[in-house]
Amino acid sequence: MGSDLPERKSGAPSFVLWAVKDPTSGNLDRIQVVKGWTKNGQIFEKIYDVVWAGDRKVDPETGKLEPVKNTVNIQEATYQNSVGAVELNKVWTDPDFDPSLDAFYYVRVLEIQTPRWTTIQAHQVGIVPPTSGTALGVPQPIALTVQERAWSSPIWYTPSSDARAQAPKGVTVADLKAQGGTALDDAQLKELVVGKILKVRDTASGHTYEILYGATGRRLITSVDGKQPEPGDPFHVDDANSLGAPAHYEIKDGKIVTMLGNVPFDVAIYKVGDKYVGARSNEFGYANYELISVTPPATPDAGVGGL
Amino acid sequence: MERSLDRPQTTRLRGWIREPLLHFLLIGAAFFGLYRWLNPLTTQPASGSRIEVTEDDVRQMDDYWMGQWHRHPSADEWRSLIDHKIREDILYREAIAMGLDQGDTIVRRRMAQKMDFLMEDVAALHNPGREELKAWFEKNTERFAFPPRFTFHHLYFSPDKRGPTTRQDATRALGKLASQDGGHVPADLADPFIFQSDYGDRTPEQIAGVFGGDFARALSGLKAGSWQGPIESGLGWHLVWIESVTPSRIPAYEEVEADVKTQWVSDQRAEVKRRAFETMKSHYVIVMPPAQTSPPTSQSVTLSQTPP
Repeated sequence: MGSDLPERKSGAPSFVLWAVKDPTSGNLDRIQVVKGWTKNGQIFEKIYDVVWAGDRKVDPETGKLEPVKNTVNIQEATYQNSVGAVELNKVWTDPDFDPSLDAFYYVRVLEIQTPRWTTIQAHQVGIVPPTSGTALGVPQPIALTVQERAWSSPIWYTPSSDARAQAPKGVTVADLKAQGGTALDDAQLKELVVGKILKVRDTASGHTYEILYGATGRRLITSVDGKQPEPGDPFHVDDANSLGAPAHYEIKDGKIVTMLGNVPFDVAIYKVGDKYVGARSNEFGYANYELISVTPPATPDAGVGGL
Repeated sequence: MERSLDRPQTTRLRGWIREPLLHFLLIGAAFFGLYRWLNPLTTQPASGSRIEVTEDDVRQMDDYWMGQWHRHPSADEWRSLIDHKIREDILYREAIAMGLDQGDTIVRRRMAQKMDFLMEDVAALHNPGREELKAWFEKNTERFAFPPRFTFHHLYFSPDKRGPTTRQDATRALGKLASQDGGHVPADLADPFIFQSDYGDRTPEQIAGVFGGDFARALSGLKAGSWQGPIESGLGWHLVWIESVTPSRIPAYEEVEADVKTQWVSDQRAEVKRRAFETMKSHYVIVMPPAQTSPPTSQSVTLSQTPP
């Protein structure tokens, strides 16, 4: 199961995807490819909608495919195979292929919405299906319908040593030190970040973040690529939970220490000439964050004053 | 000579035997011994403090290693194997001494399982004679029935391509086929099917695996030698031409002799186990909570379920 892609110098790989529904279950909604890759010590993951049933459009604003119509009758715990497809297939070529990066691909096939087992059992015993699990100690709300899915084994891509050598090298902490860079100490860090908005460019992903380090030990990502961050948006796997939600931070031992989902990560900032570069503790020695600007947060008063 | 030497000792012994203090001590020791025998020290390791790695243990470890890696363990691996065994032995004994086996679901289940295996081992089975097997087969023929087998080909009408008119298209196609002669099927009358267009000698179970249960059931009502349908499957609508049907039948004893014996043995084993358990159970008094007069409420049924 699964496989390895052969080494390649250029040209994106193509995949033949083909799925047929289970004759005793719901029709197919779509086939997706899930791709994961690493770059400069960071982990990335992206989901591509490859082929889907019906005449649905991808929203150019959000990049999301219109969901398949939900045919579930909650009360009767039934669904209709009037939407979705029996069979889906397509040849898909990775639009973002980079021969110098380690990557994996796997395929995921989604069924149309069908009643969740709780909905089916509730119908059988004649009660309203549960939507809250608090009585059972389940913090999440309980869905009434689900999209069952099947997935493939992964296909791995490992670059040749030539391809690796040709890839642009990321900056490492060792490089910064070799250029005479020095790590900021606690006092310098406080001076630089506390009560400021730092605009930072992640050189691995190319995304720009604005991070507000509050005076009271709260850290908030206020924008991603100049837009309001969307919670759960997988711009960056590690940051998925923190976008738009404040996290606690403190400065100690020459690091900015932030908790992300109960896992602490440290950021050290190095001064090289008149530039500042940040390195995270969980990125294997890479220093991926270029500081673009430091500004005090806009206060409500500033706007009023203009009037 | 002997007597004269013996005599003073015997008298001294007699004196001792009459000594009440000795009686008291002996009775005390007997009580103590009885008490210890009835209440063994629980903090003492189960089988002393000696751990012996025997030749057999070594051979077993070697065999196990060979089975996994197809070679003998190296010196380093031996050391770690032995260390591991000793460590496990010590921790096991300490755990038993602390009573960690008590009230542990997994330990209980494992012990019960071992007992179950043991009962199977003691299930002394006699070798059944041919007559005995045959008589048993006559009583249980329905367990050996051969399923029917269908040989058919079909035309597929895809809901992906035709949408809501799929069924009508199939019906119309059936009309067209009726006016054709000799079962000739015009090209592009139907749609390409994902799997096969011909299926030979398939059981309803095999057919259900591809098309779904309803389709498999529908086949048994069809006449052979003409286009029939439309029939709905889990994948769309079909016109079906049945070539031949081998009906379900009870085989002759000779056809399934080996199978009968296997089934007989497993039946007997289950029976012996059941009886052995009934005997064990008869030594116990089982106390149940007061009989539940009403079934659990539907609410609690739902809530007590866990996701599959």
